[in-house]
Amino acid sequence: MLIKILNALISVVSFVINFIISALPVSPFSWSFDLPSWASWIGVFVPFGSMVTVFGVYLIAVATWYLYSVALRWIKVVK
Amino acid sequence: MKLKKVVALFLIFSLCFSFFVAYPFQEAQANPVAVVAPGVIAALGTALVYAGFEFSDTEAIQACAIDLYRNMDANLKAMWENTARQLEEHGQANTYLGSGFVQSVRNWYDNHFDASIPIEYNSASGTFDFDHWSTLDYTSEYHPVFSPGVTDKAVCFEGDLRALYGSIHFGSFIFKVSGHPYGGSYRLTCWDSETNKTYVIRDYQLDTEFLNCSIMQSQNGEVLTFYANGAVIVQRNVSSRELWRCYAQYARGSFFSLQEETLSAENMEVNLELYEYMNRLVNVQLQMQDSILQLQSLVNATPASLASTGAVVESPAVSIPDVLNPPLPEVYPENPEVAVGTTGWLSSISDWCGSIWNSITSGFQATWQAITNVGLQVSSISTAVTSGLVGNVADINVSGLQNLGLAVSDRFPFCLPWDVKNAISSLSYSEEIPVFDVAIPALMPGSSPVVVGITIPEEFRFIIDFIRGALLFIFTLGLVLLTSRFLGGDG
Repeated sequence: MLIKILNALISVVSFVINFIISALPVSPFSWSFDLPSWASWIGVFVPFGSMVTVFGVYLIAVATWYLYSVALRWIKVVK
Repeated sequence: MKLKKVVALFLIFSLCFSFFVAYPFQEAQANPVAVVAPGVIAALGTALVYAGFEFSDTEAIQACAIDLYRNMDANLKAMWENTARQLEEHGQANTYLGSGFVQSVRNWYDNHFDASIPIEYNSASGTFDFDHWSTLDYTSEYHPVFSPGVTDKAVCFEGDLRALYGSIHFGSFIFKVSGHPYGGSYRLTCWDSETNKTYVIRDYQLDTEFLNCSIMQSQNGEVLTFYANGAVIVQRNVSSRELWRCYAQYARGSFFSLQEETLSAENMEVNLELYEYMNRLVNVQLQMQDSILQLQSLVNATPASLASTGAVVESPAVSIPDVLNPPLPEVYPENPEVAVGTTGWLSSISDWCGSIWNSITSGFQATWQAITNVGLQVSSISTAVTSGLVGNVADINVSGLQNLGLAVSDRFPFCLPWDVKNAISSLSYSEEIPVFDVAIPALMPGSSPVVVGITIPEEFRFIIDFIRGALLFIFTLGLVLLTSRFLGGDG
């Protein structure tokens, strides 16, 4: 019974969010440009893909820490 | 002020969260720039390997294919490039590789080999198969045959490991589905009718919607059955680097280790998946009838359209032979009977002993079943009480929320992480080391300019890993130092 109510709530929330997202404009950026030949040399020596991955995980960690920090301030654990 | 900070932090977190929820889906989309080049070069490399060239490693195949590609005449090069472009940009469109391409490749083979290379049009797959039959030797135990195929949607490298009594099909492919490039490789299972052994050589568990599958059974050099089809749709992406690794494995002939994977007769099994694929082939072939007719009309129409390009085209350039596609059997064969264990008069004693043992074990099983039934009744009463109010936790359906991350990936402003990622990833390193063509002008009258390709020599490429590792280490160290500013507090 409770599970059915929870599933209904989840479906309503996902529907509302999907509706809002679908109303947003699509990305105005296009990155499928032709790079000059020298640009391929940069990618050989600089690990851009790994850097993006590390930086993304780093952002997640920092954002999570900030969230914890805000929560702790609210409950007066820290100043 | 606090509200603004909270909203900003929530926005950052939601962006990062949505980014990483859908990150695996985005990773499945290979870099378009990286797919095109292997599409051309890999097909050429495949043609070289099956034509009889031997290479030390994958890089040697690529180097030779690149060199061949560079030295092609303009028309042939344009056709290869056009093919790759069509595969990349219009994978879903009804594009077609002109018969001039086939003619050019056939001329190339005829000029480089004594033996004629038959090119057959596979009406089932819609591909042109280049078969180097002259090297086929049915007296050898195993013999590989490579058949690169090019369709309007895919570049397929197929092959048959043809043995004296059977055949095993394998392949690799780069193709387009729903506007995204995919690549993969697969192997199949084949039953050897003569030795009563099943060969299981699949090494990739692909989630297939339907699989490219050509199954041929032959005996003493005579083809018994042959089921052919060409279209492949899979839901798993394999990087082009991995594709090359598999391909190099084929090129080195390491599939001769098949004998190590041969199952014993006692453990023999018929691969039911294989028959499922065969079942699907029937529907697929019916769906492809229209496209086959379109291809045939294009083959007839192409010489006129190519006349303006100056290409030498026969009319018709390629004959369309009938492909042997017998109907599938109504009843699939069962596992062949294999005599295992005792035989003759000993079998009656063995059967009597077995019947006594079976009666004893069945008695114990019935008793145990009664005990477990009582336990099940008790647990079902307690389950009925709790499940009526709460329900089964496993029934919680969060699939709607899981897809939100992917949904925001192209919606502004949530698309910004992906835009930044795409911008940076456009500089990513593909498996191909770039080569600069530097033209040295002619010094002597009457001589032609010399084009020199500048690249990193094979002996020095190990330094790339060192530099990349060092830069990643410095980047990570910089983030660690930056953290003290972020999290350092008021001081």
